[in-house]
This record gives sequence, structure tokens and C-alpha cells, in this order.
Amino acid sequence: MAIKLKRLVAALLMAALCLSAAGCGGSAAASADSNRKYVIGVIPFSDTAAEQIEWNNYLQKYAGPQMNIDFKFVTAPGTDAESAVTAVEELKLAGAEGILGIVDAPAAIEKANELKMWYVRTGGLSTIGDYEQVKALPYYLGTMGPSLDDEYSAGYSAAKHFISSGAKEILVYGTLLSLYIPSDMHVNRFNGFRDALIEAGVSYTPPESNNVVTGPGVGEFASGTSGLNVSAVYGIQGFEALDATFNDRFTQTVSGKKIEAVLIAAEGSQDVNTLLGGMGITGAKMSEVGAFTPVSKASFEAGILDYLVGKYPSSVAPGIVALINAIDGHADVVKNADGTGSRLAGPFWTAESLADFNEKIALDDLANPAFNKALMEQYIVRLHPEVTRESFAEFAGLGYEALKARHK
Amino acid sequence: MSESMRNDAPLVETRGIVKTFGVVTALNNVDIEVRKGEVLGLIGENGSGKSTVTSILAGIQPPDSGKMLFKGQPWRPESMTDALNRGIGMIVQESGVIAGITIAENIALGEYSKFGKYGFLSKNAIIAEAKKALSSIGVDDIDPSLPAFTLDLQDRKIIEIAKVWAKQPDVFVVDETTTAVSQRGRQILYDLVKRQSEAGKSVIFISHDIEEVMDVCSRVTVLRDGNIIQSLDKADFSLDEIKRLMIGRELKGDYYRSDYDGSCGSDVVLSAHHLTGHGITDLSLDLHQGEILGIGGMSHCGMHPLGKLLFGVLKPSSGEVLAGSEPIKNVAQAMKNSIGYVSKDRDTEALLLRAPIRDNIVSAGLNKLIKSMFFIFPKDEKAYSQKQVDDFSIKCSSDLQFVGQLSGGNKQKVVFGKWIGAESKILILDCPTRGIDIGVKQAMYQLMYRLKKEGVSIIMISEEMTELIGMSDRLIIMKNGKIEQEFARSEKLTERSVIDCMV
Amino acid sequence: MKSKIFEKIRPVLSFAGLILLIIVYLFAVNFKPSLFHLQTIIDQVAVMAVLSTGAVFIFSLGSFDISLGVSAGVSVCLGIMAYNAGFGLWGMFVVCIAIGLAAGLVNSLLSTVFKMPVFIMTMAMMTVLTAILQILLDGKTDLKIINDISGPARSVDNTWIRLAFMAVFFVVCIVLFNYTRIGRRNKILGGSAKVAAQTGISVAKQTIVTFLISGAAVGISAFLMITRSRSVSTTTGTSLGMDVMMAIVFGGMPLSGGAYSKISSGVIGSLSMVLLSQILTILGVSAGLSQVYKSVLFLVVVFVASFAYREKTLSRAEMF
Repeated sequence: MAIKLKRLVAALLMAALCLSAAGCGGSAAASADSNRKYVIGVIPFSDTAAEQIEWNNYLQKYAGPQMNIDFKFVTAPGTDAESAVTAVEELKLAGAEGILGIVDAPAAIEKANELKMWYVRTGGLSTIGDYEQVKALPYYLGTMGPSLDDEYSAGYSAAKHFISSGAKEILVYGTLLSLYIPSDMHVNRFNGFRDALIEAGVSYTPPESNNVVTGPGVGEFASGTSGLNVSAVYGIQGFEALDATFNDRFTQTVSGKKIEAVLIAAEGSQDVNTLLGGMGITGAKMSEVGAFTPVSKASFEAGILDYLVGKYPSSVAPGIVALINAIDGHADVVKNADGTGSRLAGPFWTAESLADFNEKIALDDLANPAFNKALMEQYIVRLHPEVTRESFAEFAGLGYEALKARHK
Repeated sequence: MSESMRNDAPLVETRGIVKTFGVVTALNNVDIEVRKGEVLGLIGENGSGKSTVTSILAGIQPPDSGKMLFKGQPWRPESMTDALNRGIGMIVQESGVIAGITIAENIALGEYSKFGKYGFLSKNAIIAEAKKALSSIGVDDIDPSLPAFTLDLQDRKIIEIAKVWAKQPDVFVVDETTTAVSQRGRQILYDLVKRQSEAGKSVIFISHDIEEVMDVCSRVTVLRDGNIIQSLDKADFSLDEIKRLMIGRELKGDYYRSDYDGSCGSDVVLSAHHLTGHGITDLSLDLHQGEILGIGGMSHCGMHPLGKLLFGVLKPSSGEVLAGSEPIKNVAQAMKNSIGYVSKDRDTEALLLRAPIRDNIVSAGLNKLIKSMFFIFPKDEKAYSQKQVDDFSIKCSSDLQFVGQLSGGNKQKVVFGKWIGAESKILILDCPTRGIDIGVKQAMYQLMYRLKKEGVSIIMISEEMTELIGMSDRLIIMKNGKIEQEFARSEKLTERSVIDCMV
Repeated sequence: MKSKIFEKIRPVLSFAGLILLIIVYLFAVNFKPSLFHLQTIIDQVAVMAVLSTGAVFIFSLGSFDISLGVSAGVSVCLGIMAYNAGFGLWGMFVVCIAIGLAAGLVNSLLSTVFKMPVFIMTMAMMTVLTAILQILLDGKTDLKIINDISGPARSVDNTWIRLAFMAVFFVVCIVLFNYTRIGRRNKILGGSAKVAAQTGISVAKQTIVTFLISGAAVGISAFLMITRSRSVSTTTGTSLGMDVMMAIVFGGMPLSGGAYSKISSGVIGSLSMVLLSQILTILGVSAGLSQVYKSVLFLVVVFVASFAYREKTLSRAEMF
């Protein structure tokens, strides 16, 4: 019996390994102009976030087979610097030549550089400081995805959307602890909210302290000349242990207000809706700076989400092309002229209604995504030697309308 | 009518049952049979296999090989519940009562489906059924809706009895060897055995107490080392003959001690001064060097907590315990003063059942094993524990065997080894021979006597009057938390006179 | 019969599992292991191995401290703060150890004074420590070592230094667990608190000693984490706590502690976990699926472990 059990364990392990081997075998049947097979590692920021799952789908189901790339996924997401370093090492063992990272821990990027693996930070940039620390590393290609200006505009346009639609009672929901410093990504979104509100006549007093536990929070909005009532609450995502504290804070802030619009600095409209519902407040319209995913679609359908600024499944594609170029020996078209890692902007998409959402996401179908094979191949230097630093930046910065035009 | 259904055919029989645990052969080709209306006694020393064979019949464990027949059909119960439902029910050694649920739920355990509708249990139905079960064994004063922990350990056995009896088994198996059953429970069992036999059903009765077995049973089968030695019909019962068969030799020497010299050293090694608390009121006593001080009484007289108070396990609300002149406030101090304590609840308080013999034996002697201020070496440990295993002739495959697999007597030897190994000079023994059979019992008595001669002082708390009278230099009888009377060692001391002052 | 065979293989089962993983690993790297492979394994295993070896002491009592990972996170944070404040490399090391010991002391005092079950108490502790980490970070997402490129913290980012720390700590723990009273008493206490009490073992004292040892492990692993990532964030250590628990079980530790606790289970389990992760990544598992594989394997191990255990002791409650 015992031996049987031991065999069972062994068999299960083997079965698991075979399954995974079969999983990567699928991509071997790919077609490409060249026989060159690329091995690219992916360090996700989460195992469960809808945004990440959409990216994974695009990589595994489209980009992998179409572009002849073997994507390697690490066993644990890079939630902290230590696990990101471990992820880089694992990917090296797995034979990856480059890394598509949705994390930007300098220790991990330095490790990639030390192990001679190209590194692209895709999906934007958390902090300028991190970028500054690693930008000179030879194997660091830079960041792709929304720029900090894009992040600011996202916040600004979301606030404008609600102001112009006549909402009077507005809640600014920070979502992330990193709203304060130094996550420049979220600070810029918040600044966008703030400036649009100030333009509408709201006055704003910043907080004295940034300490999330003891400090006063996100600062104070006053109606001023605007006729708007704006309140603000900060939240902590990913720390369930503090949920009770957060709920109290939220309740205190919102209590007695008939909230009509909620500006969210990231995802989370459904959670906020649940919290408001618990206080008897229904029908509030919300905006997110997030991603085009089945979750945000459901929020539109439920009438919760009214305005979305977000990334989309194939928005990681410029990062892939950057890695292919670098692996081929053409890192120069990606990097800055002085050899430092570039910061290439790749704009968000915006949806102002469910119909708008559906129309946009139709362009990014998995069968023929916004960044499809034909488009990507045009910017591979090996195939098109005429690609320049400028044209590559233009490619990385293609917005919805431009992509739509290219598709025809 | 088939041959096997003839009236004189056995109701249950086993043929060539073999069962091994590790390298120990517990049963070696065992054939037993029980006829209708018969009360079969199984008797043998610890480890003789008597509990193993019944546990196989009752579905607790399967045999390695051999055949079993019940009512002429092959018998292969899947579990204890299965066996019980099909006609063989056993009251087991260890208490299987779950303290945190009600008495009624304990009785219904494993049968919830009977009381449920759409996944909901009917509490009232369970309680009513439990009431019926209890009154069928003549118990009307226990409220089955109370949690089981409201009963003391001994009365919890009654729950077990009711549970099995409620199923009206054809074969009622009573394993009395290590049971903690009160006088009341015992009386209930005797009545049930009689009723069972009168109803033309069968009983298998296991006990250490030869006299009890001779009293209750119509036939006795003696086992030794996993082998059937002999079966005796009631007419052939003789105490000496059964003892001889069990042990395989004449019991040589004394059972208890033979002298009536109650003298001992004059130094007081352990004393209690006005102890109060845990059911004890203002109790004082002295234990002298080399003395065996017996403490007896009814089970609730306070003698069991007294043992724990003396060892520092329990704290008195007032009064103090002194070892010589040093106060004993906790177990560590007691041990430092060479005091050892053998708990009545051996399996839960004295032994780590899920640990090897070695770990148990060395547990009290870690300080003795220290070398170079700090270190303990496994080879010293091994020698230490092996010495106790050898000295006490603990029957085991090695000292790395699980204590939980040992028989009651061998378990108790391990506890003794734990304290003797630690060179205890004062031993507080609470029911030291409980659940131990005669050969081992004798060895324990002789050991106690030897220790006394070596100057060890012993407090022996017991519910068995005969051993108290047989062994004590001085005997204290307690009642309601106080010392009722004290007897000096004497030839003239009788059980009658002692019991009279207990009640 | 099955118990006989199981008896023999049970002690080596987790070791056999590790050997199997090594074979699969060699297969995954095409039987061409290099120094880099070895270094990566050591680099990745060090933190987990140290922390889980310390945690074995708690596990042997039959409890588990779920806050170990977050304690390490706080320790990392204060260590970096000390370094940035000019205390130097060894000042940082001392601070890490001190914080680890302090966290262990607080945990043990709380559990002995208030007689709270360790697991529940450390769950509450985890919340408190998470909040402390956030207060320390003062609203920032992370904190990095200053003068990172040229500072002395770089000099200890070295595989062999990690190996040395791990080896020394492991040897000390082997001695404490197998050759002193500490390990013996823990096993007795893990077997039965009642028996321990009646054998003169002070539950409070033993709990404190145990938590101090695991506290030292927290400190050392925090130091090793700094050598690797040179930064701390609000999430530092959060997944480590669970990894340690899994590692110990993979390493063959009985689920309820007691007599069969093995000090080697931390190292064997951590090695197994690291190898498993690397194998899964090398062979290329679909995104998100490797956690599923790990969890399934974990369940199998738990099943086998508890199966071995049930064989040993059939109690009546289990029979019914």
C-alpha cells in the first residue's frame, strides 16, 4: 500500500510535469518567417488580477504562437523585491533571453542585467526613482505603456466627465496606499482628478502628513465657487487585515452624503458599489483608471462603471517587439540615443459607455488583436531594417484611432 | 437446516487468526468459539492477545490471516459500526466518549442519518432515543441532554454501554481490562451479561480479575503470548490453575509482601500541612523514609486530587507541601526533590501515546542525561531507556516502538521506568496497578517492596482495598476530603473493617 | 502489513521526495548542471531554509506562527533604516536579529500570559506587524538601501556568504534540537501539554525559548533578504509565512508536532519547494497554473503524512 502511495505521488508529479511540457509544446507548432525561436520570461504583478489575466491570454494564445515565442511564466508573481529577484533567476534557468516585467523592483532589474537578460517594464511605470536607478544598465530597455502624462490625463478626463455630466456629490477614492508618495503612477492620476476639480471651482488643501495610519488622509476639498461637494477617502488594496479600519474610514467619509459620482484612482468600482450599497447609497456612477477586462465590462453592464481609462490585452505588444529587437542585436532602436533605457509612451484607451467599451474591445479580439502579427513584424529590425528609434517610438505610442486605422 | 445452524453450533468462531504488529505477533493461529447463551471469559496477561482477538471480531481491525464465522456465515466486518449493526457489539477499553457533545449525541454517534431529515438533525429524537437506551440498562438519573463532560470519566463508560446495548447485539463483548468503570458501571455490566445469557445470546467477557471472570463466566479460555492455552468449563475453574495457565508457570514467591512489619525510617521526607482546595479540607500527613503509605477511599473522597497536590500539579488554596523542609509549589520543585508521580489517567497524563518508549522514559530524566552543562547524546539516552526496558522487562520490539501500541501493563511499566530512571526517592502512585493483569501486578508489588527496602518512600493511592491492605505500612482512609481513619500494618486488618469506615 | 513497510520508509519519505525532485531537476536542465544552477538554488533557498528551520521549533510544539514572514518584513525594514542611518552592515545585522528576537518575545509572552492559542494569537500579530510595517514606511510603497551601488551591503550579496549563514544556523539548530533539552522538551510538550506539565516542563519557559530561537531565525532571514533585494516594501515577507509552512510539511514534519518532529524538515522542505518552483518554470507552466500544481502536491504530501499517522494510532473516534 505504501509503495502504491509513493508511486501515486511520483505519478502525479510526473503527470503535472508532462502536462506543463505539453502546454509549452503547443507553441512549438508556430509559424514565422524565420526559424528563430525566442524565449521570453514574464514576471506578472499578480496571479489573479483581471488585467494580468488578459495580458497572459494575449501572450499565450496569440503572441506566443504567432511570433514564435516561448513565453515562460514564473511560479510566483513579483509581489516584492525578493520574489521578483527569484523570478528573474528562475527565468534565466528556463533559458529566457529577455523579460517582460510588470514589476519594476530595481534589485530584480539589476539581477536581470547581471544575468545578461534584456528587461522591459511594460504597463507603465510606478516610480521615477526606480527608473532613474536602473536606466543606465546595459540590458535595461526601458518602460512601455502609459506615461505619467497619460496617467494625469486619465485622472483629469475622468473628473471632467462627471463634472460635465452634472454630478454634484463627488467622491474621490484613492484606492492605493501608494496614492501619496512615491508611486508616481497613482499620484498623477490623483493630480488629474484634483486639477479638473479645481478648474471647476473646488478648492483643495493638501494633507499635512502622508502617514497612512496616523495622518489625516488625502487632504480636504471644499466647494468653493463650484457648487460641487467633493469628499475624498484613501484605501489600502491588498491588505485584507486592515479592511475593518478601512470600512470605518469609508463609512465616516461618506456618511450622510448622496454620492453621485466616484473617481477611482485604479480598479475597484464593484467593491466601492458594495460599500455604498451597504450604506443605502445606490445609483452612483464611477470611473476607473484600469483595464479593459471582463470585470470592467461587467461593471459597465451593471451600470456601475460609467467611464473607463485603461490598458487592454495587446497593449503589452510593443514590449515584446522591443525584446525581439534587442535579442536580435538591435536594442538601439528601443533605447535612448545616449544608451539609457527609454520611456516610451503607449496611451490608454477610453470608454464612456458600454457601447463604447464594446466597440473598442472589438478591435482587440484574440483572433486579430489591435497589435497583431502583421503590425508587430513591421517594427522588427531584422525584417525591416528601415525601422528607426523614432518610428519605433511612434509604434509604441499608437493610440486607439491610429490602431484602428492601421487595421484596415 | 444446514449443519452450521444447529443449536449447539458456535454463534461465533474464529479459525487460525493471525495478527502481527511490527515484529510482535499478537495472535498466532487463534481459534475461539462462543455458543448461544454462553458467557465466555477470555483471560491472559497483558499482551496475550485477548483484546486483539475481540477487536478483530468487533471490526476495529482486520486480521492478517484466518477465518471468522458468525451465525455460520463468513464474518468480515468493515468497521465497528458495521459489526455492531450486524450483531457483534463491543465495549472498548479506551473511552471513546467525546466530552464536548451531549450524552445523547454520543449515544447516537455514527447514526445521525437515522435522526435527520433534509440534513437537519432532530435533537429531541436523539435525546428521546438516548433516554430509552439509558433506561434499558437501568439508568434513569443521567440527563442525556447534558454535555458528556458533566459526567466523570468512570460514568462516561455508562454512555458506551448504553450505546452498544441499544443495538441488542447477538454477541456482547465486554473488554474490562483497562476500563475505568465505577462500581455502579460494573454492576450494570454484570446485570447485562446475565440478561444477555438468559436471552440465549452470547457474551465475551475480558478481564484481568480472575475472580471476577470465574464469577461471571460459564467458560474460560486462557491466552498467552498470542496462543490459546486452554479452555476450562465452569466446573473446572480453579484460581491457581487459571493463574498457572496464564503465566505458564507457578506464581513463585509472594503476591503482596509477606511481612507484617510496618516499620520504616523516622525521617519525614514529604509532608502536607493543612492542605485545602480541590475537594480537600485541612488535610495534614507525613510520609517517612522507606514507608509505603496507602491512601484509600471511595473514588470521590479526594485522594486523587491529593496525589496531584502533593506533586505540585494542583495548587492548594491554603496549606503547603514540604519535601523535608523545602516547599513544593510546582512540579519542577517536586522533581528536584526526587519526587515522581504516576497519574491514574495514564494514557492522557503520564504517557505520550504517539511517541516511542524511549522518549517517554527519558522525559523525566533529561537533567540526568546532561553532559558538559548543555548536551544530551542519543547514545546515552538509548542506554538509559534500554536499562529501564530491561529492568522492567517491557515487552516491545524495541524501545523505539510506539507506546500507544503497548498493552496496559507494559504502558505502566514505561511510566515506572520514567520515574525510577530519574532516581525518584519519593513515589506518588495513583492507582498503579489499574488495568494491569496478575503477573505484571505481582511484579509491580514486588518492585514497590524492593524500592521500599532501598529506602524509597511511596504513597500508594488505590481503589482496591486488597492491595492497599496487602502492601501498606500505614493505611489512610479518606472520606469527603478528609482523613477518616488511619490503620497501621497488621495481620488482623480486614477488607471489611476498612470498607466500613469508607462509606 | 502496510504499517510495517510504512514504518520503514516514513522517516525517509520526504528525503526520497527531494531525491525525486533532484532527478527531475537534472532532467529539466538536460543533465548539465552548472555552478550557476547550484548558486541559484542556494540563493533562493537560504531565506526560506533559515526561517523554516527556526519555525520547526514552534511546529514541534504542535502550533504554528503565521506571523513569521511579516516579522521578517518588519525586521528587514528596521535593518535597512539602521543601515541608512549609518550603523553599517553589522549594525544592520544586529538590528535585524534584535527585531526578530523582540517579535518572538512579544509573541511568546502574549501567548503565555494570556494563554491564547499560538496560531490565533500570531494571526492577530500578523495584522499588527503589517500595520507597523506601514507606519515605518511612512506611506511610501518601499524603502531602499542608500548608496546601493557602492555601499557595503553589496559586498554580502554573495552565494557563499548566504550558504555560510544557512549552514551555521542549521548546525546550531541541529544541536539545540537533537542534543539539548530544548528539542526534547518541545517534543514532549507537542505530544501532550498535560504530560509535559506532570514531567516538570514549564510551558511558559519552553514557549519563550522556542520563540526566541525562531526569532533569531527571523532576524537572520531578514538579513539574508536584504542582501538579496536591498529594499523593503509593504508586501515584503507576506508570502514567506505560507511558504515556510508548506516547506516544513514538505520536509516531513508531522502535522501535529511531537515526538517525530525533525529539524531537517525545514531545509529539506525548502530545497524541495525551490526545486519544484524552478522545475515548473523551466518546463514552462502556463501562467497561474504552477500554484495549482504546488497546491495539489502539497495536498498529496499532507495526505500521505496523515495517512502514515493514522496507521499508527487508531482511536475510537476515528473508527466510528
